[in-house]
Amino acid sequence: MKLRSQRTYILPTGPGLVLGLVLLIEFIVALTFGHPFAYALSFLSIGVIVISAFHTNTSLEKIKFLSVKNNLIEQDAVSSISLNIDFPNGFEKRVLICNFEGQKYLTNQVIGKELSTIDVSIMQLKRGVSAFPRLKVQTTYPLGIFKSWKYLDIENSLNTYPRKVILEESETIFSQQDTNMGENSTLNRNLDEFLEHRKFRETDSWKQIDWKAFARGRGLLTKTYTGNSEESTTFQLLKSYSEKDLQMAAAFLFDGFERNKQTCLMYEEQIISCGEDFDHLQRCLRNLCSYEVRDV
Amino acid sequence: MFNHIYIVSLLLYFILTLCFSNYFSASHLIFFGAIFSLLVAQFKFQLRYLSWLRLPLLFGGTYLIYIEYGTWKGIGPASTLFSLLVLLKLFELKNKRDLYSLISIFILYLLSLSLLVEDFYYLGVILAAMFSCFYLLFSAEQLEIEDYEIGFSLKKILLLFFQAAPLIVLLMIFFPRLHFGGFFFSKNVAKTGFSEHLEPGNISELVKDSSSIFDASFNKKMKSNDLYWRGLVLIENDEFSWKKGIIPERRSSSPTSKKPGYYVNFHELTLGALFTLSQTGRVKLTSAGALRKNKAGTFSSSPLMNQKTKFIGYFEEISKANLKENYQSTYLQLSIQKSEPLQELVRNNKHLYKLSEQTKDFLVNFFKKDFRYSLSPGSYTGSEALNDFLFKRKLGFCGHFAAASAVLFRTFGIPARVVVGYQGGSYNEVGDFYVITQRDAHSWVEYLGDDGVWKRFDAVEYVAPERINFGGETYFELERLRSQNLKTDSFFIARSSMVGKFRQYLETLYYKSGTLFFNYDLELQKKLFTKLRTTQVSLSYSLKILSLFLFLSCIGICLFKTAFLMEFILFLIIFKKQRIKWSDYRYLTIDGINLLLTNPSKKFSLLLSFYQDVKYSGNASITRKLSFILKGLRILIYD
Repeated sequence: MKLRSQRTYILPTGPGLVLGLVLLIEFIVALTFGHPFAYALSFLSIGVIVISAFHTNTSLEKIKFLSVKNNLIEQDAVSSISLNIDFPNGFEKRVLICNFEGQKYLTNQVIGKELSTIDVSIMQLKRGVSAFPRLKVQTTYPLGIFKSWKYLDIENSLNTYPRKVILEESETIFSQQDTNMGENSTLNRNLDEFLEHRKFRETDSWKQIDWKAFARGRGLLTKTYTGNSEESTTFQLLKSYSEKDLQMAAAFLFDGFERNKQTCLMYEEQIISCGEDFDHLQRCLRNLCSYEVRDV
Repeated sequence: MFNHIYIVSLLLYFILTLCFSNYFSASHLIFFGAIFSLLVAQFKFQLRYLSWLRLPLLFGGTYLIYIEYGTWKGIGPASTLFSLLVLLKLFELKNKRDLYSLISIFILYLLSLSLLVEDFYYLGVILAAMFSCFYLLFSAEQLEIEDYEIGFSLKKILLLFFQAAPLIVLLMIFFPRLHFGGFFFSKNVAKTGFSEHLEPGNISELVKDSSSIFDASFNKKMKSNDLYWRGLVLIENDEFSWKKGIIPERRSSSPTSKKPGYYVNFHELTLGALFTLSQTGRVKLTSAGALRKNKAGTFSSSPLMNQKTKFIGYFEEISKANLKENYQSTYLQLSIQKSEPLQELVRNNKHLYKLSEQTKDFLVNFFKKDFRYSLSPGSYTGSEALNDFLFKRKLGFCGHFAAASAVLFRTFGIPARVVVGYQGGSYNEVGDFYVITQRDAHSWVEYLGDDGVWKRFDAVEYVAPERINFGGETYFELERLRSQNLKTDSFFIARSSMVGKFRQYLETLYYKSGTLFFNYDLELQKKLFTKLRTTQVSLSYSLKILSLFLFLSCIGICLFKTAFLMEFILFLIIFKKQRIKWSDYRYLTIDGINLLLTNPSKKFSLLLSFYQDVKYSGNASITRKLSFILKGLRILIYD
């Protein structure tokens, strides 16, 4: 992540404009009456407002945007992108308003202080892999009479996976496909071979732990098999699939993940990923993002 | 959080209105008080329906303003209206937007109030109110933050004020104080000052009030018996009373003196007589207003834009009176019943007729002989009043003496007139200025000397010299002590004691800063720029200024950048032992520091643990932080 430029933009806010009008009245009264108190009030207001403008302008200066935690979002749904932000020492709590360019309606208010993660809402209408829109970070700190903002370019690509269809529909369609593709079912049952090791998770069965590997000092590892579970289901992508099919595939993958079932995603007889964990889900979804569908 | 803002707003309104309460009428205060009570009730019992009263209250309030002032124009009605608007806005304080509107109205309210006053101490009230307004702004910005800290917000606003201070001071000094006149809001609402009639008992009533009238400073040392502040000249006699008339004199020729003699600042908005010393040939107004030079060497002014009168007096050489031909008919006019004792007095002193100096000497002896000065001589009424005073009771106040002296001068054929004004004043030795209060009210006589020059005769000077030497304030205090059989020495001891001196220092500080603040105009700016251009600044002076600046900066840093200062001192101590960059130091942990410095001294180890304690305790007090800084500096210098 990097800043497009060091430039910070600053403009008065609505209340700031009203206060500016009040300041103008103060000044006219001071000039008209020549009253020292009116001058004192005007100059005091000017002084504090100028300093507050300076503070507003520099209030975004020391914030460091480190990385994007996730770049995978669902198509046509409001998703949240997590950004790692480093606030410097002594940074005071303030409201930061963040939104992606062109998505003003998805503005998030976050309270910034110290190292934290902020979530910014985003919605993409099209599936696919694209560049992130610019992130606008804005603040009106300290007095709310000026707003300053900066644009941030996020170098990662944004992966938008297909919109999930509702579960019942997905299940029905998936059953049909499963029936149609009798080969797949056979493949599921026969592929009972060791696939890979993965780190042990608390939810894993003790039976699945590779104790030999543990004895060799490799730590707790869980053995995974291509068809080791009775609940293992496979979704095979075909070239002829449409957007709707991909949406069903996404729903299928999520369903598997939520029920802790092992799922496999195949493309033209080739296993893309098999598993039940989040990494597997992400791997599959990323594949779905870049999948080319037939022209309808 | 919103409740906190609401309470602060209510408090701010209450305190502000209380401070300026004497500028609102009783009916308005009662009205505001009623609305304020409704607001408190709404807040305490959550009576939301009370906000429906806003419109009737607005109409009622504006009607009341019209009833009280007879107009909606002017500063008074404006401040009352803004006060009403603040209260009504408090009824509908629901969100951030309402809060910003409230603060804007608050600032306008404050502005209108500030135009009503010209006392320097109000600057403190105005600054505190502005501080509160910005505090409210900051609080509005922090609405979304749950663990909001009042102390942090106050500190932040204070920091903003400190940071803005140089800019504010620069603007106050260098922004051209152009005056465009009152094309928007000009309205003259000055009060009438001194009475234009002198009844003998008038002044004894005036001196019961101790309120200050004006202050004066001089370019040269003045004697107390020179301080006769002339206000009005009364020439028409009616028994024991004197009043204003048509003065048979021409205005004196244009004055030549360009060197200011004294500076006067009125404490109240006053329309009419200016009080000037007898040698004053010219007066220059330094406040907005119209000046009128009257006959008999008096001046009057009509202030504009509610500005209290300020002027500079220029001394001139005493010259002959520029009298009209028929002056004697006026200055010798008498409307008295010549009693037998008076006629006898004139008969016995026939030789004094038309001899002014001899008459004066005679009167000095006459009054000195067996007349007494008293604040409560009883009343002199009726046609026998003058006779009663001169030949029977022989007890009176300055008004009696002046009225009787003028009659006696005229009886001996010497033109005379009564002058009303002030004499003396309380002298501040530290600041070298006088404060003239109502207790210094005085009247005396001016007679036409043999050389054609008006001269002063004050019988009180001979009857009660202490009154003239000490001034009214001191004299009456001494009289009070004497009447209670108390020692008068204690008064002088108290005045010259440390407390007395300290009071004088405070008064001086207030007076000097107030005078500078209120008199700082375009002319003073020009003088300042000329002085800055021409002054050769010496090296020692520059060093003093630089030291002061550094000292103030250090205090500022210590107060607001303690965390940074702590880090910096620790960095310097480490740098002294092991050369490292600031950028590297910032990533050093405590363990890292211990590893870097192979053999740290015991003192440094203790300091490091103290640092750890202060930094990570989260709520270390400022005193602990400052203590760390001092310890760190000690190690930095001596270790």
